[in-house]
Amino acid sequence: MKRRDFVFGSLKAMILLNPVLSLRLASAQSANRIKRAMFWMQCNGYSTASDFFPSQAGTNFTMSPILQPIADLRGDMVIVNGINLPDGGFKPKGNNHVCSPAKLFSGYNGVGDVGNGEDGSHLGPSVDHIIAQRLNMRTIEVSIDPRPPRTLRSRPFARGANQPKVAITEPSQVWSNLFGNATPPGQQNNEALEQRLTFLRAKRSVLDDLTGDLTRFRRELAGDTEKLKLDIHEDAIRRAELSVAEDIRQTEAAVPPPSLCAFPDNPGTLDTLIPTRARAHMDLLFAAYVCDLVQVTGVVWGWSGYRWLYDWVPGTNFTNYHEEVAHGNIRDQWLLGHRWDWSQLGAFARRLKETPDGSSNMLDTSLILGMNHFGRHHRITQIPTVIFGGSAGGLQTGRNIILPSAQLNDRLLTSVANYMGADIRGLGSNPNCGPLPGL
Amino acid sequence: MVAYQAPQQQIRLLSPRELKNTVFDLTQVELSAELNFGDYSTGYDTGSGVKLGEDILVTLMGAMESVASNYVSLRLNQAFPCFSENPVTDQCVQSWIREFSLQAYRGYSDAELQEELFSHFQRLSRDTDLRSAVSLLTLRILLSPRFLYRTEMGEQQEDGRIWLNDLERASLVSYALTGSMPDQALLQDALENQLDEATLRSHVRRLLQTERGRERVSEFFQYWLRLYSLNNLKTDANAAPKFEDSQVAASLLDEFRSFVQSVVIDGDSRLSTLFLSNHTFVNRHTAPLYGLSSSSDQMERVNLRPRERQGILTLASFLSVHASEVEDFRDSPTERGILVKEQLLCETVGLPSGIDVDSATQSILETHPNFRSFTVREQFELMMEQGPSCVACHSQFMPFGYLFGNYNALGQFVTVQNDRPIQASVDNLQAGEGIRSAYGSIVELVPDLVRDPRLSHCFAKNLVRYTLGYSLGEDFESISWLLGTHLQQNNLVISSLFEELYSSPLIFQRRSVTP
Repeated sequence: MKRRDFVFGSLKAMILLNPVLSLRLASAQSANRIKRAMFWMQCNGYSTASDFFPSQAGTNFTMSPILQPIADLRGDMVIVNGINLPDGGFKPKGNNHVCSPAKLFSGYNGVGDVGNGEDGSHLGPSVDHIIAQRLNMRTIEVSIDPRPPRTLRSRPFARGANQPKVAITEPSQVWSNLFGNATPPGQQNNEALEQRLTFLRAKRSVLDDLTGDLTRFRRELAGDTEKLKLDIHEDAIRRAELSVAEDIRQTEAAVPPPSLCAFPDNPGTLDTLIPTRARAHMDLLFAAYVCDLVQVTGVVWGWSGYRWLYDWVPGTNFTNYHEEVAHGNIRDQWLLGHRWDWSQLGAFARRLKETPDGSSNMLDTSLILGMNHFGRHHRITQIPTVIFGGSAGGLQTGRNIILPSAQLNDRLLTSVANYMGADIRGLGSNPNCGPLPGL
Repeated sequence: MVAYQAPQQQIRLLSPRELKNTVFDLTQVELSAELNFGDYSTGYDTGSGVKLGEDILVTLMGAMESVASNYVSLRLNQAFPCFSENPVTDQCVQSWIREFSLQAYRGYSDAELQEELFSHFQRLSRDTDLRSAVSLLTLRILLSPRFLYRTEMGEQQEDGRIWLNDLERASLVSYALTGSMPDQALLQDALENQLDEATLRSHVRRLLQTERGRERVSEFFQYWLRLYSLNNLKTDANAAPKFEDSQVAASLLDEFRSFVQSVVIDGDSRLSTLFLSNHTFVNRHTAPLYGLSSSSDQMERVNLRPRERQGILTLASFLSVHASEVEDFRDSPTERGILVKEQLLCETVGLPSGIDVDSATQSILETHPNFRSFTVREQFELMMEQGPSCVACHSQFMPFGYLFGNYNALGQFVTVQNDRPIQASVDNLQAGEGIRSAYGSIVELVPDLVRDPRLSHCFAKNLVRYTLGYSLGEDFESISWLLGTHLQQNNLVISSLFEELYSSPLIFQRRSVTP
């Protein structure tokens, strides 16, 4: 039996033998479900809690100053007031700047110590990865800031312990990953399909032989530590094979893409202006959602301690967002920056809402979790948290939830995963933490 | 001295820099993708701790597809003229497979493997044209573990010990000295098992003089002194807002590299010169940082006032990185002090206490409303009064940092800050034998630092860590000690240390990872 046949055979057998998985896949095929998710990290905290959180709980609340520009989406969002990040474990230097992004979407209590006192590492996977794995969804992570994400300050997403998912900074690279090898709608013809099939089969053949190369290479090694590296490598090849196999299946079936799908042009090399890059990234993610080329996305909006000038926002007047505005607590300037950030995420949600998806719209069938890695100043309590969309999964939107007592983010993330259909009992440091009461 | 224990066997993924260099040297095609998977946990850019998961593989697949395609369309005929003939013969393809795989796999390509690759090519040819088949086979080679990983597994010899074979030695030396695969001469000697000590020494001398060797050596010094952000300053105009003219920031990497190369490769190569010489390199953008003027766009060598500048620790490139990114006056005695302690003396400073600096500042502002008009040192000294734990920890390294007080965040020599005189002298340095407790400035300290054997040993330790790609505590102590001693006994000549290290049997011995 060929190894590839074994992989597919095993998958089929696993589905037959595993009723939970069968149910999950059946649920994933249902129309009434959340089909995609976005995890969005904003940075640098806020001046005072009332700038972000509305004061009235329930469905009848007045928007806060920061969220005012997206008041029209009130009925499509859930604001959660009272989420803390766990405060423990190893702390690299820089107060919570380094460790809070790594905790934000993972629920781990601390970060790994890489030995230099300055950096840290993830202790385990973030929720986006867990969801994508459980639901067999494709993922991509982007970073709006042009600076390469080198530390945890700009790496909130992870595949596992010490395995960060490094966000892509260049929109052209995002375009290549999402659209570069995909076939644009309306351009298929038999000849093109045949050529693509030939290419994909050849690619599968290369991947098959790489597995053989890996097996030969493995024989020369000794020691479990080094073999673990190759196990992970082999697992990556298998996943790539599954992905290519899926491409082949889709190409063979020549399934016409959704009618609304339109491939954008490659944005090419962009300047370093933040609004330009932000718009390019969000446009690409939107197009990829519509074309169903990706289902789980991560957006790093700045980085912990970032210093954008926000000089494209009328009324701003500072030279350093972190030291001058945040440390100096210049509230009105801080507000202006945050309002712009959240209005951009709101604009993305609005586009989804305006796009039909079956009998509903794409916002209802999407779930966007927007969070800041800090609360007030450098504190990791009362973390700004907003969920957009998600009603197709049963999430009751249009609410401002003020938690009676502070809760850790692991319970929030568990709820989000479960609304997506991932069915988990917990994550991070507490695999049995359970969902967030009241969400 | 600790008894020698060889480092563990390992495989390591090529770091992004090594991968880019190797791909280019192999194909003459740039690997232009953004690669972010380096392992910086040792302080050096290595692939030792990196596990190649799905995201890295997906990135590499995309990047290598592009390289393979460009290689076949742009370079193949030039490198292998038989591909210009019509028809292209099997012999031509086989000769390409032989040579290409031998280089790509750094010598690990035998007849059996070549036959298997040819067989794969034939299978691919059944469905695609010849050039597509060559492109796909190139892709396979560029993604194969034999290409992506360096092995340091070694072979057990009659003495019961495990020694790296000649191919592994060639790769270790080549990647350490050039950041790329062994060149033709080194690979040939390795294939013929000719890498005895004398041959290795001659290769080390030769490789240090190559363009890649010069670049790699300065890169090592950059990592040693924690100056990796110089690369960002060169490419990102917004990396350090304190520089009004981004050209100044962009030129600092060139200053640093020119200085290191002028001493280590083109000069007497002595560690003492590196720390004591009063020359540097400036262009029209950076000359004003030293109170000089220049009309040149190129880096030009200049001598500086010895009372103000002495060696690598007083270069503007060094000083501006270890300072505020935003405020041009704000030096960082903490960062500079810790660097001396950790990177030059290899002494451990405890982890940060996690004190909330903002709250501490707020609290001081209540008692000292004019706090922000003090000098940086005065501000820090007030901050240190927040509690005994602050003082206990910071007193280890802050005096070193205060000695740099006369250099602002742009690397300029200044005597006044916030209209207040700067005090750079200290009288409470606790640095052990050979270092006094009182100095007037960093320029006064440096000669004693150079004489201190701890500097030589610490330098050697960092070189070993950089070479092996991981830190294993005591594993390094003995070899670092030997090399540090060698450095001292050889007039602190760094190139001699490179020769000694990369020809020493110690660096090629490994310990089994199986119990």
